[in-house]
Amino acid sequence: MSETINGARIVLETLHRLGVTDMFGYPGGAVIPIYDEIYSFPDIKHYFVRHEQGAAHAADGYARVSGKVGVCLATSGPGATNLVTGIMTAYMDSVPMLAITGQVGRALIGKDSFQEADIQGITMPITKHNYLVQDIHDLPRIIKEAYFIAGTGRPGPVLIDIPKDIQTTSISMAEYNKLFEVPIHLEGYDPTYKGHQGQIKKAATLIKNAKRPLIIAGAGVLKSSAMDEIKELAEKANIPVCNTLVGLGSFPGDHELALGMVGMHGTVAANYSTEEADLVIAAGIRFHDRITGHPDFFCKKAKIIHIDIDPAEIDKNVTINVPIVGDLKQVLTELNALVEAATHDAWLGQIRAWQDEYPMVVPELVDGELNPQYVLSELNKIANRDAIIVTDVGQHQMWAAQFLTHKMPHTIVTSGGAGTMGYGLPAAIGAQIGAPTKQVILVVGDGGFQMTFEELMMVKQYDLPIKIIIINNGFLGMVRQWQEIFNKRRYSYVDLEMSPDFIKLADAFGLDAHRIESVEDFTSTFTNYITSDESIILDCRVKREENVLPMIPAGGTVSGMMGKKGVIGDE
Amino acid sequence: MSKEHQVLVIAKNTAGIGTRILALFNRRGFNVTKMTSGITNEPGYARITLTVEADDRVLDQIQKQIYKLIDVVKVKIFPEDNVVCRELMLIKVKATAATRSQIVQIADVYRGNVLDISPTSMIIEVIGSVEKLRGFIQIMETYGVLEIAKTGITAMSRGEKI
Repeated sequence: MSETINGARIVLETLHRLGVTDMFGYPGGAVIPIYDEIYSFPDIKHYFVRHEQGAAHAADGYARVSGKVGVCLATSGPGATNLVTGIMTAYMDSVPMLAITGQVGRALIGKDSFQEADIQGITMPITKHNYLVQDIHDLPRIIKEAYFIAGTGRPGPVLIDIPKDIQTTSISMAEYNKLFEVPIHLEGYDPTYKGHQGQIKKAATLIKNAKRPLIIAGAGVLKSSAMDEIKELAEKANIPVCNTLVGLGSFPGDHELALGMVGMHGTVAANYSTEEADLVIAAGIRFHDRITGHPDFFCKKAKIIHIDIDPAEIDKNVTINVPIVGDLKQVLTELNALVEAATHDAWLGQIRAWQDEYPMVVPELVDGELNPQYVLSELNKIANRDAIIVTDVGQHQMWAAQFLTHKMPHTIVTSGGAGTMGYGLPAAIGAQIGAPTKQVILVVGDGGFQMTFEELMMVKQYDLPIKIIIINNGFLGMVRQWQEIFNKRRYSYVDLEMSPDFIKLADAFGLDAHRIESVEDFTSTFTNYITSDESIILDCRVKREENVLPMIPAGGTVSGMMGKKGVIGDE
Repeated sequence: MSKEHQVLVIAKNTAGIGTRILALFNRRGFNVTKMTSGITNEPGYARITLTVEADDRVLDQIQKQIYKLIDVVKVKIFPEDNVVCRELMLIKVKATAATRSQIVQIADVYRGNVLDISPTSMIIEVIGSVEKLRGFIQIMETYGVLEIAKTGITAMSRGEKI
């Protein structure tokens, strides 16, 4: 009898052949055959999360730091739906991810069977593509296609739903090999990598004639590995660079042309530059509302060159003068060859004056009380140059963006588009597994931490040396800030009146934790904890009602920026 | 300015392709008023004609966003002056022995076919442009329209190319 291979084994064998070495998952009835086969694949390390949401976020964090496709696995029904938030988070930030779910057997589909959910239908709007496998002979092709689609063009999550009976159906090994060898052919999928020559020439002319040019570099730069090309363009023509939140690190934050983050909580200099620029080179950004404020008034004195791999991003939110659809690295290489050296001394002088007048300020420490900005600016001094900063969502996320320098690419892991609370801890776990030799530091709020702290078990189980800094202000701080500014301090349900004792909680997971309640305690312990080789949870009790400033209210304009000097109403 | 346009979509005839397209319209806030779907001369492909109401900017987005669907092979906005559009309508009108022959005469002018006659009603099939069908309905209203079923618009470019 010739050798056979079943569907479950096809999944793992194909992933193995594609180069997958790690996956995050949670077992369940509809994936038992796959879990059974995992035993025979020592080269694929499976990490056992404690909630499927953790699997999706971990795969996401893994993908963001490694550039590889993150893989997560869950069972049918609730297992699959628990992935949904993580898939949507990856979709919003264009993170390459492969989500594999078990489905009830084909004979049970559509009968409201036990643990049945139409996960293909549910994830249609939040995946780049998805599949329900109907025939064992399609399985090798589908896995190859899904992996390819997830990681190419504009990356994104792809889901494959595999009925249980397909997992247990066998075909001959010879047939599998033949099916695996069939080259991928996707008639309707052909990302444009090479930019239009005429458009690139037009862009070069605009750059040549610009008096006040500005580069806005987004996550597309990281995805295309165009960091050197962006730097070359900036340095050659002396163009200042600001970053979107998820684009931080794509241009060195300590470079003299770096303006920091742009947008709602961006630096004054970055936002003023968008207002005054006569040319904006938007590289790998999608003109998100948190960047543009009111889109009709964004960069209104500027002509805009928009370089992006996704043609649908052109003119979606803001009207573009010179669109260039293509891979940033390729387009910038060609553009840089045409761009002439230039100086923009008056413009850079103006920007420097803004930077001097409106630096990011750490509020003064009063009565030995810690404030969050201080914690993050101190972290900036001691974290490794290539340390990976993972954040959750909220005020601490913005302070981490503002007060850390983000010198290296792929060193910030944060849910930008989706703003998913609870993302931080599982993403940090994925990041540490994806970059095992790097220092991984999670900055998390006391609210978001409570959403997914079950994954602390993984930190212990896999002995991950993650440093967890809880910026604990006892509030859902960002909502509280909005309520303070826009709702007359009506702090409706944002006071976390009751929270667990995080030290005891850590102890229950077998992890070390330390509470820091004063500046004195902080200065005497913080460095040791952060530079140690062990994991640590630091419960930093900080001033409760600090605000993230500056701030451009949602849908507003740069002229409406408040708190330019760190205090509202003190301009 | 918002106007009606016909959009041609050729896609791999996979399960759920219609859902993918309609869900896209739904979540992006695009306004689709009619959708017809059928097969083409090439096996394995679906040919879908969408009638949308959009300004130039939204129309551009519609075209690009649909094309992003992996199973979609071609998207084309039909230029107004170079397209043939047809719709099939079944219309049930009140018809008595006294009015029947008049209605048949009118239907002849519109090249309609009588498909069913009952003692009190008739079903007529009319194929044509939106305006032609509208004109026929208007006249039939004087006899009393009982029911209308339209297929939606299907369209094709003039000349050899798709």
